[in-house]
Amino acid sequence: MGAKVELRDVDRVYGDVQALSPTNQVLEPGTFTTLVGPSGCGKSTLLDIIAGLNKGNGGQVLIDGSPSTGPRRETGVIFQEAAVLPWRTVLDNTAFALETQKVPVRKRREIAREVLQRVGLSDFVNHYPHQLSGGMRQRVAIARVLSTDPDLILADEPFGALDEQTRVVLGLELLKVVRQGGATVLFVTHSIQEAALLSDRVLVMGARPGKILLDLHVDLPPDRDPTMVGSPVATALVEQIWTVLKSEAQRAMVEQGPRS
Amino acid sequence: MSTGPVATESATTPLRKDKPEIVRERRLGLTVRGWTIVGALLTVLFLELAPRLGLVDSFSLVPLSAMVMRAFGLLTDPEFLSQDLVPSLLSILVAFIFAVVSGVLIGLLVWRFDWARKTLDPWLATYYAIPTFALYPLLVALLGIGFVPIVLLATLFAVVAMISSTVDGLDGIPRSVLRLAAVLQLDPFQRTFKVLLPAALPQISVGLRLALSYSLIMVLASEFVLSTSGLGHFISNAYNDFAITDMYAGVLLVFVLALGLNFAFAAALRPQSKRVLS
Ligand SMILES: Nc1ncnc2c1ncn2[C@@H]1O[C@H](COP(=O)(O)OP(=O)(O)OP(=O)(O)O)[C@@H](O)[C@H]1O
Ligand SMILES: [Mg+2]
Repeated sequence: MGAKVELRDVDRVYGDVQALSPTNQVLEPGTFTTLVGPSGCGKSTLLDIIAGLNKGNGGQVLIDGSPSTGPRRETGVIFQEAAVLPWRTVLDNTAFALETQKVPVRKRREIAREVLQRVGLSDFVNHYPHQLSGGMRQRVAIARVLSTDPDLILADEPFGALDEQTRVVLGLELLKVVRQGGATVLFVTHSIQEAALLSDRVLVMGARPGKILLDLHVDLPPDRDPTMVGSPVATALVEQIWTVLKSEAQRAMVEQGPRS
Repeated sequence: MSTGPVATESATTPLRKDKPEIVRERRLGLTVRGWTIVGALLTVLFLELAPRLGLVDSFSLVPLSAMVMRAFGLLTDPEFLSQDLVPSLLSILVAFIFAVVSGVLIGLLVWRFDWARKTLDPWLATYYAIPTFALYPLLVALLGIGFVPIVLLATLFAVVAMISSTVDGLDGIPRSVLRLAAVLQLDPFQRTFKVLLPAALPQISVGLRLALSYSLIMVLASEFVLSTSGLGHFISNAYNDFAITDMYAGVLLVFVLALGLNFAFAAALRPQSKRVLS
């Protein structure tokens, strides 16, 4: 079952930049939440704080009720560039998380094969990352995350470096496998369409100070397919998000104008 | 910069940087490898014919065939093997291992700790401008002559190449890989041996080849002056005794040794060098 994530007055300051103003949010177990917003608004900062990779200045992150103190095993993180290890085969990359948790070779390879099948990489178990496309490498990273059966998955623009089609395909694949495992997901993206298509809930962030401006429920059926991008619900949502982001961008431009 | 027709051509065709063997290119009708072979053949021919035809006098140079014969003779001479070849190989090996182990360790520290980097950076940058070999009188005074100062000098000479390449390799590790190590909560041992060192290995292997060459150079050079045994001592001794054929046979063996080690190394590291993401 998915983890419940509670943010209580979490914030982060870098020098005199308020990267994240005090934020209060709850991610309900098993929900898929996307975070969108302009570059530099603090999305990665928020995600890293939940991942335990970044310490906020104040506030608290509660995961299933207990305060987070750093990275935890049950949280899977997917980065923008696929964090694959070039000297390991696809199979051993996938089994790497289990390996560091001292799961015996045979067991971890068995699990790795199984998750590789789920992400459609069965035919590439013995390949090395340099023999794969960018999208396939990202699938390896997803497979590694799935191998530990996480209750919380944090993804920071995982498909940002990929082309539009691959991005949609991989996003929907991720959604499907995540639904099977029931993990809670926080997914950062630049793509508003992607946000609408994949998530149950969209959080829209604004910059300076970074804060969540809009909290939207996505009223689409739980099983998604690519055609839903064109549905009236999705179109309306995208428009709503754009309106907010556009005024944000204008505000940012006015603020930055005299300085540059 | 001179830009011949060939150079311009290669400038317009994008070359993949992970494929250094661009030997297909032709200059004056021969590939680069072709020219290498021609050069080698000419050298061999000169070394054989020049002394025979009297172009150089026979006290300066002996025909190559004589060197080769003598070299084979030495390789079957138990005294040469136990007094000269084995001690040199042993010194090279020990110096190399010391340099590699301490170089990688220091490299890890320099990469990990800012204070270590700030302290060592000026040294690393200027190290090879300092003639390490000039330290030898000091080492003789401190340690006498023999195995220990030789190995120490060679280690000192080789270690910096290891440190630099290790730091370069570690600096080049993608941020996402480091963050992965953090997310998976690797302990320092796992982090070092399962992530950091394998990730830095392509650069480290460059350092390994340099360190091996440097160990070899320094051991032989030190043996000239600091030793009563070893291949370097054999050569200088032969030189002092006007045993010209012995001297050249020794030099030839050094050549073959250096080339052989280098090729063996390149071959051993090749399969791994391909597993690098572009
Ligand atoms: N280590 C740091 N030191 C100083 N400032 C930082 C640091 N990390 C982030 N910041 C600042 O905090 C703000 C938020 O950064 P963050 O990376 O969270 O943005 P983001 O929303 O993820 O942007 P992007 O969409 O470009 O990834 C930015 O203004 C950035 O300059
Ligand atoms: Mg970011």
